Amino acid sequence: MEELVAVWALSAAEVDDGALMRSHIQACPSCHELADRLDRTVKAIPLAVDDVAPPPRLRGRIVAAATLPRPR
Amino acid sequence: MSDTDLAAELAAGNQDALAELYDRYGRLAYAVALRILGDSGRAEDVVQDAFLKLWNNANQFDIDRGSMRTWLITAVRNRSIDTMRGRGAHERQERELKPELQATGPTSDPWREVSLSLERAAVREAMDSLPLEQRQAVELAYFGGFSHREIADMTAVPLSTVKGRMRIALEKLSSYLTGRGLIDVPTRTDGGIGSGLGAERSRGR
Repeated sequence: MEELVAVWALSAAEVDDGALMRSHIQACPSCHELADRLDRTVKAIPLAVDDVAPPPRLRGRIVAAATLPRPR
Repeated sequence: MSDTDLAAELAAGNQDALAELYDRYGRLAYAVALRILGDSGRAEDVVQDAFLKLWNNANQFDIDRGSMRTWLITAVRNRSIDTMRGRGAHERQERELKPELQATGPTSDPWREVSLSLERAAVREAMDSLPLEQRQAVELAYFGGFSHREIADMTAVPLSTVKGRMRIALEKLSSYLTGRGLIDVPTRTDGGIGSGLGAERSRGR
């Protein structure tokens, strides 16, 4: 199962494999540790994207949408 | 204002806090969405959706369990992939509101910006250091949303090779980033994976 942990961390497992991995990771200490470490690593990957400025209007759109009542 | 204080202000419904959150992470969020979608209009929609999801659920956000940046960028990534592949929200199995990374970030704005900039440079350097085939496997999964089987088909290599490339690439990245203090070494007491989080995703195609 350990060979699938990186696949799982990258969200690249098929549904069946992923469900199996989830159960296994909960139960296996070494895979749990590996999954945690690789999961933290995957979370850093988006920082590698090239910097792009969003259109200035986007900030206003988001703040304006937040004036609506929050769903209960 | 620290991210912890910002989270409290968001939970209290302070709209200025939402604007502050956007000023901190909106640029990165948009860059990630645009990288995945390649379309500025859809990238804007995804970023707006992610920020408003956090805003609407701010009272459930537990800053002790992870950073808002990680939550936001993960949400943007997953929504972008779903948008690109035509998947609906009901098909998602994402970890929103349950982020794991612990970093809450420095507290002063200039340092936060410098810190983020240095972090981004280090991650780029780490990615650039990977052999092309390893980097390709990681990028097709993370930014393309492809499964390892799909990547094996696309690149015409055995499934075991794709698994191996992913494993080696992530180990290298982990070592590089841990060595520079950019990701924490997990401990058994961390919430981490133990919080019942899953990384498999529906593939309803």
